Amino acid sequence: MRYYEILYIINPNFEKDKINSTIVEVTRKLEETKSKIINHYIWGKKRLSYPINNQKYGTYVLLQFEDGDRIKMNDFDTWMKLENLIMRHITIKLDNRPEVIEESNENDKQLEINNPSIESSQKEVNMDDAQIAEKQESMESKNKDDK
Amino acid sequence: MAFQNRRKFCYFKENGITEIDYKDVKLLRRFINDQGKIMPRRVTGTSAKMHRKVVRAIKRSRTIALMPFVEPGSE
Repeated sequence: MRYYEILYIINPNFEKDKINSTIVEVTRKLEETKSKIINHYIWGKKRLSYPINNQKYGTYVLLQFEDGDRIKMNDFDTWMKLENLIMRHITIKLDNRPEVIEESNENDKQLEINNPSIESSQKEVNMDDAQIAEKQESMESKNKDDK
Repeated sequence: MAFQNRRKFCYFKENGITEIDYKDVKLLRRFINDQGKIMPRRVTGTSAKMHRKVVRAIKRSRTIALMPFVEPGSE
């Protein structure tokens, strides 16, 4: 038995439902090759090192499976290449059986982490601005006192 | 003392790493220069066996856009 790993990039602007439907679509297509899926989860939204299809970011999804019908795998690979939902993918042969990771929780967690992180960073910036304003005010008041 | 040698060592042997994952960008970033080029073995001091693995991992992560072919701003 051989074990493979596919890492693919989906458009970062997709909503949660669209991402999930894409994952389901890939799963359905892979199951046609009689492969056994071990892990299939969202790895996270990351900045791409170079733009692909004019996109700066991408949602990475990791898929690990045990091979089934190897002749049909070629068709699956071609489908992945032609499918517009998937920006890019890479298939790697693994040396050992990968460990099972509980996916259902991680999917939600990672999606939650991805979206609020932007908001939280914005909040931090606002906080910083407020602190700077406060400092400036205190400095001004001190100057007035000195005068 | 001007010609004192700097001790070169294999990072992987020192840390007991035997397999390199192409998704481990933080590790692989040690082995590229600011232009995004893979650094030679004579600079990094990596053993030949592990250097081959590093090269393979970097090239894999480049195809999936985890690492750059050319670092922007260095062209």
